[in-house]
Amino acid sequence: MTHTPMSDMTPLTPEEEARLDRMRAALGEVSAPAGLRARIDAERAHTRPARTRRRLALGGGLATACAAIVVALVLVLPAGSGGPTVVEAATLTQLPATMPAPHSDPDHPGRLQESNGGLRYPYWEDRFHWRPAGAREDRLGGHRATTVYYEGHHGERLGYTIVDSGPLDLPPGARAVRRGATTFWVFRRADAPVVAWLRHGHQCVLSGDATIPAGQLIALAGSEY
Amino acid sequence: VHTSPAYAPQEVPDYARTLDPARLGDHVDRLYRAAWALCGSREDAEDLVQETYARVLAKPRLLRNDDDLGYLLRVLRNTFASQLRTASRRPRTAPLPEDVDPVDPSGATRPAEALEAAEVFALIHALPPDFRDALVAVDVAGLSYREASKLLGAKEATITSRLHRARRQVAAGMESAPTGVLERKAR
Repeated sequence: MTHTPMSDMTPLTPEEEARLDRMRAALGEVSAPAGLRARIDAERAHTRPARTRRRLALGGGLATACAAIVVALVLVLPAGSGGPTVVEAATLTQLPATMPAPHSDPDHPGRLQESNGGLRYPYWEDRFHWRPAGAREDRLGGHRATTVYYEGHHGERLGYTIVDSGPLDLPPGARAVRRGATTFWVFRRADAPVVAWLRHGHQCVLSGDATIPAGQLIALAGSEY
Repeated sequence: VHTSPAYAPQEVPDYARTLDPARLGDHVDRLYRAAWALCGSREDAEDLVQETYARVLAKPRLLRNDDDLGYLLRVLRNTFASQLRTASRRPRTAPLPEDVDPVDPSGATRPAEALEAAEVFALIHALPPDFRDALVAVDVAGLSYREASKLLGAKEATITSRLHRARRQVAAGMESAPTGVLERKAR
């Protein structure tokens, strides 16, 4: 640095002042993108005070190995101990089906007969070649949680869980992606991408084999809009 | 500002108040500009602001004054520093799918002004960190010298000096901007 303190503090020239005025004017033109605002709004909607939050912090291989234990804990914890989380809902997408696959609904084209909270599951076989392969029903923090499993051409499997609740807590680090007016939250659980979003205020979660990319999950979830 | 979760209730002074999440949206624009100047990238700025809000909203926050913006900027700077430290060793939870474009990526209202703003942000980002922080606090975020002094932990005279040098460097950079966009309005 060759400047001396005295030379640095000499008054700015009118030309320099004019450039700085333009700098301030240019900066004043910049506002936060609408997508960022939407994600922050969604963050606020999902956020609850920490003292009422219950977290199950498992990750990677440990989560896979202990999935059964986790599910047991999830399903028996009383509702009063705090709200369930999206991670817990995502656990359901990896469980075996306990009920037969729902049929397409002739009265509602593009939908299955299975529903939860008034939301019908999508029928994806014709458009996306994902056929319904089974279903199950659980209780998650006192809320009814239903899952429909879909199977792809090569035996890939994914689960679509709807929790009859409001927004559930998201894990730290979840990333927001906008499609139209809908915000999808993406994170990984046990190496598999998970996509979470709200349908008419109900929490929906879509996840499956680790080989199914997040983009495909978002495309499927977004096909309903 | 008290941010420690171990801050005991009996130690909370009478004038402390809880940060109101409903008011936080008022500061998004200033935080976004500050983040862009710090990161030098529009995309990283979005991530930084989102992470800042996630941290702030994660638990109730007690403030001793009405300076919500100063508090948010402090969290923003801490988050930025933390990201720099961990960027090389922490994988992202889930990279965005390649086929998904961010919404409203420009963040500016008109293309010419957006280009000009991008060049200004690049000049600010290239400043020495102490100069850049002073200019971001005062000229970008709009803090007073006193508020900037508190935020940056430096004397007001030091802030004044750093800010003056930062402005001079930015003005010099605008003079020599290669595209000429910055001089368009002067013609």
